[in-house]
Amino acid sequence: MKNRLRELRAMRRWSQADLADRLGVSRQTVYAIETGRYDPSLPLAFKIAAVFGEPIEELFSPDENTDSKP
Amino acid sequence: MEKSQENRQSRSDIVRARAWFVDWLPAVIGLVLLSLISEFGLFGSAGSWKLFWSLLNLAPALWVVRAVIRSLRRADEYQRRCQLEALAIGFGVLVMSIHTVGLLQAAGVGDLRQLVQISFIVSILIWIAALLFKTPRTR
Repeated sequence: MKNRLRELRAMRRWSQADLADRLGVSRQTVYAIETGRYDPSLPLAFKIAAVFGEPIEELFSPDENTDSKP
Repeated sequence: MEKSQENRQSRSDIVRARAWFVDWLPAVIGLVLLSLISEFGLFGSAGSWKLFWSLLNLAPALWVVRAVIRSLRRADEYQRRCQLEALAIGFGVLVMSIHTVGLLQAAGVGDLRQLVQISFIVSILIWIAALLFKTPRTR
């Protein structure tokens, strides 16, 4: 899953820790999501969308390998 | 943006780290004290009270279980996944180690107490190493 977290965070001049504070998660989690190591759960994805004020489909998009992953 | 500001922990990180420290500290102190008592044979731990002092090790061990469960409950979803994967690796190592200890004992090789302690400590270290490997804190 690809996402625009880093781009949107940079636009707002937030650090990873700032975003983590807003989401109530660890900075590791923000880092893992931004780098594509971890795909957030649906509730967290909606929370991220709410924090950025963007629809969820504007933040996350499937990459080429998404369908082939188990 | 300053690097130090970028790399700071989030508020939830700080809360979790403090709670983790408070949860683990009594167990670590208890294990260290009991190891010293057992090692130096204090308070009858080498004599008639040996069974009592040996079984008393279960108290800090149960406290560790409590601390692990509490830290899992506090963790966010990504940390929880990493912790469970690391626990699974540590558990796998422990099972294989105990199995190996059993085979060695069947062959009459080694001291059971030492081998079990080594298996226990190595499993915990591998669990911690797996956790550190799974959750990089730096960019």
